[in-house]
Amino acid sequence: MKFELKMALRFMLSGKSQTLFIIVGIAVGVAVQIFLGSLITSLQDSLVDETIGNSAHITLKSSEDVVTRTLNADTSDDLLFRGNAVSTRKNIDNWSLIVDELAREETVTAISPTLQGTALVRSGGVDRSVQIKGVFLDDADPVYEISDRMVSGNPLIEGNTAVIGSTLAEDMGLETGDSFNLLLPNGGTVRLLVGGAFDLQNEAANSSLIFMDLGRTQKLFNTGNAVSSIEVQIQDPFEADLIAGKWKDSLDNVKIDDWMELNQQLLTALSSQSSSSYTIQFFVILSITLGIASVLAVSVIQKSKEIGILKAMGTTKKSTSRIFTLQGLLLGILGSFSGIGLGILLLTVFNSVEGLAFSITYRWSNVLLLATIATFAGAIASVIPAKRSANMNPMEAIKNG
Amino acid sequence: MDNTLLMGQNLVREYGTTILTRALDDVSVKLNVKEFASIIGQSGSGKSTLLNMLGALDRPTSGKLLFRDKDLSGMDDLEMARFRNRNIGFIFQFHHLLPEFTALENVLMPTWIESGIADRKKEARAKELLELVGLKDRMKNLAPNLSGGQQQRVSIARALINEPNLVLADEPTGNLDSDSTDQVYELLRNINRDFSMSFLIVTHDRHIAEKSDRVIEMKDGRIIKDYKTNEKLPDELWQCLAPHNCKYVHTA
Repeated sequence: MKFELKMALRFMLSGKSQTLFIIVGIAVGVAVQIFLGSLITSLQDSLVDETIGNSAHITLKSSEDVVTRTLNADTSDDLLFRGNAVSTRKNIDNWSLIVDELAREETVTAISPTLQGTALVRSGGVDRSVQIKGVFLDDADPVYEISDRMVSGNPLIEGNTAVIGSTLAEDMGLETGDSFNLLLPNGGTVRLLVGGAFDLQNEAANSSLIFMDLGRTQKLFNTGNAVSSIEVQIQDPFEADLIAGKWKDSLDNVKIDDWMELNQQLLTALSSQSSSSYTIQFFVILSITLGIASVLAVSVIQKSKEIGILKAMGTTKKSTSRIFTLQGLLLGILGSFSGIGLGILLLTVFNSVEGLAFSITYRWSNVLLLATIATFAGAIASVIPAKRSANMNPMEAIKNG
Repeated sequence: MDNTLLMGQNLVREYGTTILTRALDDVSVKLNVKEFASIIGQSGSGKSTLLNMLGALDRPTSGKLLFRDKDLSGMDDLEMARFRNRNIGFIFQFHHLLPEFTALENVLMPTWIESGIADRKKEARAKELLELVGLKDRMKNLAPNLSGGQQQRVSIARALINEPNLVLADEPTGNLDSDSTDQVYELLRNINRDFSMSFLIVTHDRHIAEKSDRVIEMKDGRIIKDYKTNEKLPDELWQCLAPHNCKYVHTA
């Protein structure tokens, strides 16, 4: 074993309670960092999941709406109207071209052409206003995870069979296999069959959303082959704004919305939450560093006679300071590892409490990063005490008495 | 071959910046191979300062220090540390064993410092030395579990492990009772004879000074007397040393 390491270990062992206290101190600090860091990240992931879970990362719509079209009309005395139009936004007719173009992008994981419209569900004498989303199930599944979120029945979307929100089904007393009337804005009525009910973990969606076959929806709303929007999922949701920005430049006649733009407030809240979490972590590291430094400073004083005799026997300055740097490092390492154990124990206890909205997950890369920082803090903390020990005059230290 | 081991020429050591204290005032001294010399003098006469300087623990403010023609005054800290490790054995009044280590480990310590590795290569030698100082059965004891005399004997073994040319002792018996003092003195004397090592001992104890080959007396940072003990008659020697006896008068 290296001579300095042996000295460092023996010095640490000789002040057992001192060493133990500081290791527990570091461990608590590291554990708090791991717990707090994981808590915040998991909370944010859960919030973001909830937000993205019910909407597409990026939505493409026609850039023109009915009103703009009217405004742009050549004759000045044309009427401006909004009225009871099915949608004020024009539908996208050439959507298959856009879909082909988007499909070439590497980052795109799913493309779902959607026709959205409003209608009334009439069942048992009760009317309820609903949103109809006409989709291809295979395309819409990656966006809404309908298949995974069915609470009853089957994810069946074809012909007159539709899947409806779980709250809507409950309120209207509809079960799988039941049928209901759908009143369309143009006055028509169509009878639909309940294929199943889904739970998107969002009250608004559960109480008013109906997924239907796209082709059937197009017929009902009489839109020909057009869709109202193209919903796109990408690999990294947090790149949505960048990618949307890029597409805005390359695609004409479409209006592009990304979830980040639509949820600015949430993102601002998340980022300020992150900064406060980083601030706390910084100060935890700072107090760990100061704790180690003060323990080592005291140790240098306590061991001044030993340092003196070691120097008289020929221990170099470098070697002397290394003895204390090693102590700092060892305290950091031992404290970090105990901290990892303690932190994960805390997380396990937290996760085992029932009735939590989300569970905390931790990433090993993160945990190890925190442990590395704390270890490094130990080395930094030892700089001043190590320097002091190196500069200690052996004659002073071993003066008689 | 020249018999000189260590030579100081016009050594001056000053402390302080605003108020200058001259702890050594133009001291020239020569120590021969195999010599067993005592330094005596009042507290504050500069004995320890001289000893520390000769042991390369300190540098002179001015003057020259030669160890076998090697100039010590020009060495940097690293060279001085290496020099001490290989050439000088130190024994102090408060033995200064490292309490975290056993007697055997304490004896091995200078070899660890030399190689940078805390190994047991020289264990056989350390055991021999512990046997020599009569502590073979206490090797595994931690330093604080030994009596004062035993600790001092461990520190003597420690001073010898790297086979130094010179052993410097600063009141090695100052903290011991008279029986231990005699034991330690006998030990040092035997080592001096058997291993041909030079000894320089700062002492307050005239019994030790009396039995040295040579006595150097200091006062106010200067050497005022320097004589061989065998050049004086016992009574005369006793008279010379009388003012310096401050311990164990009752045993005399």
